[in-house]
Amino acid sequence: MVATYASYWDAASPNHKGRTGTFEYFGAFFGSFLNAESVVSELVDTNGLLSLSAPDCEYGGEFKSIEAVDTSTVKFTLCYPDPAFPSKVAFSVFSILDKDHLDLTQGDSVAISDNPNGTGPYKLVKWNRGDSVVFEANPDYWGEKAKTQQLIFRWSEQSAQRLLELQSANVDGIDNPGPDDIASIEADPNLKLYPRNGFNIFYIGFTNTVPPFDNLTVRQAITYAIDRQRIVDQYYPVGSSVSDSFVPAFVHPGASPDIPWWPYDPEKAKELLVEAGYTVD
Amino acid sequence: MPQFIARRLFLLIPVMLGVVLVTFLIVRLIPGDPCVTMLGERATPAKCAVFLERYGLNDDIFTQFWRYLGNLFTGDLGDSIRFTRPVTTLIAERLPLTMELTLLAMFFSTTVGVLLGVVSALKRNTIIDTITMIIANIGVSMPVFWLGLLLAYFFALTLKGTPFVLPPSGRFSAGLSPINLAEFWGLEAPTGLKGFLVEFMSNTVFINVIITGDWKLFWDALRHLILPAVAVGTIPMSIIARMTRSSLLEVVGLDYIRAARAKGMTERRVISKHAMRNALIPIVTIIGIETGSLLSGAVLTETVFNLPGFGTSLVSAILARDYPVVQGFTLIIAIIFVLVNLIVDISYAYLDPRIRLE
Repeated sequence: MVATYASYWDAASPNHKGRTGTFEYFGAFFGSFLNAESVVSELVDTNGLLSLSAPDCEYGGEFKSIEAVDTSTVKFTLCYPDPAFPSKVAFSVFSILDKDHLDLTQGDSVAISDNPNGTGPYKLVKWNRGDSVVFEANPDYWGEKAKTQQLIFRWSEQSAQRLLELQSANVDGIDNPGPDDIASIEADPNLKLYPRNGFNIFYIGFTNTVPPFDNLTVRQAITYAIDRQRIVDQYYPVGSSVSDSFVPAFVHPGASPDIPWWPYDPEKAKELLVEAGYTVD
Repeated sequence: MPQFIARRLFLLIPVMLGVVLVTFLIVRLIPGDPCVTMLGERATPAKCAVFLERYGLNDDIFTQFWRYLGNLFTGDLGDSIRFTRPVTTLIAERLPLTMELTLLAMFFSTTVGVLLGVVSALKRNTIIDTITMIIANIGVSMPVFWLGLLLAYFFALTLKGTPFVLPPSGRFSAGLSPINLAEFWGLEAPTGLKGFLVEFMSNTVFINVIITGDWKLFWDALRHLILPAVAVGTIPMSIIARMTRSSLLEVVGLDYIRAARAKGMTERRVISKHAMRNALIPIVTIIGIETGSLLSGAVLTETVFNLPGFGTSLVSAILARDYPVVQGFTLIIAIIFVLVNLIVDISYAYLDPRIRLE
């Protein structure tokens, strides 16, 4: 139900040199997905297949054209190469919707999220707002069928509360245990810990138009002055690492783990501050 | 008595109008541009133009107030900016849980509190009195979130495997939820005041169960509410116990009680019929105040027990600057306080005939 699945990513992808990519959508359809403000020319319908194209790329968007090649394939022609495109189309807000569903909901985002429609292994049964979301297995799912008939997600803000729910066997699993609870989970013979990557990134941002941060040397000095390894060791759960880019190291595209980041070097930081006209004790 | 109630009800009209006026003005009196206040950094001139038009903030204040009143009577409190859903729907989703929690908590605190207070007063200066008052003092000084965590831990983990086990958080067990009454009655998505009432009754478990007969849900909801109700009811319980003790001790020393005893009445009858009635007035006051404040949301308890109630919703709306929600929820809280006070006043009149004549 969450994201429409692209099973096949054409070699002529924008990842490489070309500007066209072809997706094959299983159990999916092609909807008029740029139907809002049309800077793009009108929808053309040939043999029941829709296509949409811009006269040129002057309108500032990313799409030159979007066409249905057949009932399960849609072809995007981009205005410029975009290596993140496959990740972008997997975004739920960007999912390709059934035309009938779009007609029914009139493209109203609230109506669409109230009556979700998709091609995933589970179907939404009920959304108990503020409490839980109930799913059931989708019998018509095109891929490997869901392993459980029912799936219930409950929302719980407190990690202590989540752990208590798990320990009292009211839930089968929890995500995001509190860092302090990891040791007790590992010690409990009834529980098992499955580590996963975390998306949490902590960073300090500068407004580079405000003094003294408008001075590049000062910003560099601050970067050299921060012992990031120590912050990670002191304040983050086991398994956390120092990030060498703006996104976690396992995120692709995005992370550039091969490019070295600024090391911790307090002496260098002092030098740079002096260079920037400050006195350092 | 009917005259007294009628007079009190009549007095409600100006009070309610005042409440409506104040909640209306809250949003309008915030210094600066309402658009910038609500949309924050996303407020561009183009967006603000649309925003002001959409919320009718371009009109003069009298037109706005008139429209606000008109909308109120049709059950329209505007839309939440954050959820783009009607505020009345949010109230119908969140208020029932808080009401149920309050009723259960006040039931607990009143029965236990009055009982402890009476026992303590009757056994004054004995070991029973001391123990009872120690319990009350601990209760009143125990932080709600801490007591909540302790209760959850004890009843969910320590008692696991016994018949006394209780769920540590949530409103229902996984997979259970109230039957939607609109569907139950085969109504086509009712709107306005009717829609609000149907939604409200759907979410109020004890009303829902009477209509649908879904007792499984009722027992499940009750089991989930016991711990939060005890946690949030402990402080009122302790206050009520102490108040009952002192109030009863004061009354028991009066002449008319001595006269009642001199008549040869049994002690039980003296206390229950003569002393309690007069001792109850300060207790009823406390019960009223505590009920009102619990109904406006027990934020800590709701957080500790992961209950999607009125308090947590209001706090998150305040933090997100979702003013239509803040305005609507504040209005409801004010109305609740007014109604609870009305009930308290009527109980005074029932308990003390002199009040009726004033």
